[in-house]
Amino acid sequence: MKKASFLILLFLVVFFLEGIFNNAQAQSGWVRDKKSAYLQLSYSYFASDNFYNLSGNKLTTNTFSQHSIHFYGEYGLLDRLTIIASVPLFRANQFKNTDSAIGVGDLMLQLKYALLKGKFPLAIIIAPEFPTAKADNFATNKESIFVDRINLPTGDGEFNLWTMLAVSHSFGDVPLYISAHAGYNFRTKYQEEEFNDQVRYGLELGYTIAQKLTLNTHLNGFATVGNQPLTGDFIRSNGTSYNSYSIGAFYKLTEKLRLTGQVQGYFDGLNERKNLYSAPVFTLGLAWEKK
Amino acid sequence: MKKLMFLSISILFLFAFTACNDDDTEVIVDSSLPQGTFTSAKSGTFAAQNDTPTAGMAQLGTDSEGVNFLRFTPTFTTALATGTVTVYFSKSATLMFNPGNGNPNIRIVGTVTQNGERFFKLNTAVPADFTHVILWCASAGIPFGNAPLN
Repeated sequence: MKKASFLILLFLVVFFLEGIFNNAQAQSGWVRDKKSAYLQLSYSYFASDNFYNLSGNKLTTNTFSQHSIHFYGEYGLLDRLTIIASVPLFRANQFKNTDSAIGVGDLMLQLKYALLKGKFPLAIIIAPEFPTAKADNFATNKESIFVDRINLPTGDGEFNLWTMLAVSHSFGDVPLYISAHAGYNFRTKYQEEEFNDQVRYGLELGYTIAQKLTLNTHLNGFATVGNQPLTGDFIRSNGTSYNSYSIGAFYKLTEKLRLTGQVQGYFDGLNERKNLYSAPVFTLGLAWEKK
Repeated sequence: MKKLMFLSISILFLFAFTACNDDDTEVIVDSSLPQGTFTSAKSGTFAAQNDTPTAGMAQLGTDSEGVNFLRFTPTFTTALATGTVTVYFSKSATLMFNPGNGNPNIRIVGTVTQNGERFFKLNTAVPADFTHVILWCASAGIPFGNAPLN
């Protein structure tokens, strides 16, 4: 009965609160033990006036900022199958001279299946993302003498499907782990705008100190597949590419509760920054784990 | 009851006949559009900026009654999926804000929300030193395109 209640609650959260995929979310080869769960609620903020357009040229614009409250939950449905929900419960987008476009984001569900267990666990992840946010959400310019609005939706308005592979390894005696992942995003379209597919890949390294504090770092790549689109707004990420890094920490408050924090930044390299506001993203969260 | 029926039939007849009466055709004059023929005195082609699909022409001219208009030709396009674009006259290809001195180098015209032909009625003639039309995304604070007026 408890299991049924938990599942119903999880799916209610998933279907009624909606969300958008957080690219910073870690991917690993491990799946959860059956009936175990991990829930995390986090707050993220970033603000930037550095916009890299579709050609990769850096522009200075009015400052764009975003506040997000994000729910992330994993549940071990079977020994080899974990279900995951990624749900931004709240997102506010604005420029410094506009009011905020506020809403929930696009819901992402993930089915994570363990292809291999053991020293090098390998998992495949199938993750549909549903356009549950308002596809158009306008903020109004507070300084203009005319009615001047800009479209800053909290979702991208399309259905898309991520397929990912992730592998991990834990170094036994040393509390160190490493994970790698690669994924392909089949994108569809919003109205008349056909979106290019996308790829992402990354490495994660983590180290636990005194069984209390885990520090981790990520290096990720994100790129557009096919010909670079010539036009498109940044909010729907068509033509977006970047490399990103992050430094994060998990601190065990109690056996089940953890405090989490992360800073993520973007840089050029293999994937030039394009169609992207570039600035550090700060995240603070609280996690609960049932083993 | 008979009175009510008579009244209803009368109203139906009234509507039926007035709706079919061609002599009553109303002419609506939209004062925001040119009357008669629009004659272009200056024009220029939009150059796209910041990866927008800006294209088409801007024309400055008068209608048959001598009223000044700025016209965007039917081929006009810019990035409007993001919202509203503000139109300025400018003394250069770059918009130079100077609010402390009353913004002497720019003159705001209006906003555009749709691609295609568009007329902006102008209250006064535009001085010759305003040489460009600028498309400006006011929220982001970046230009989407500009057209010289030659």
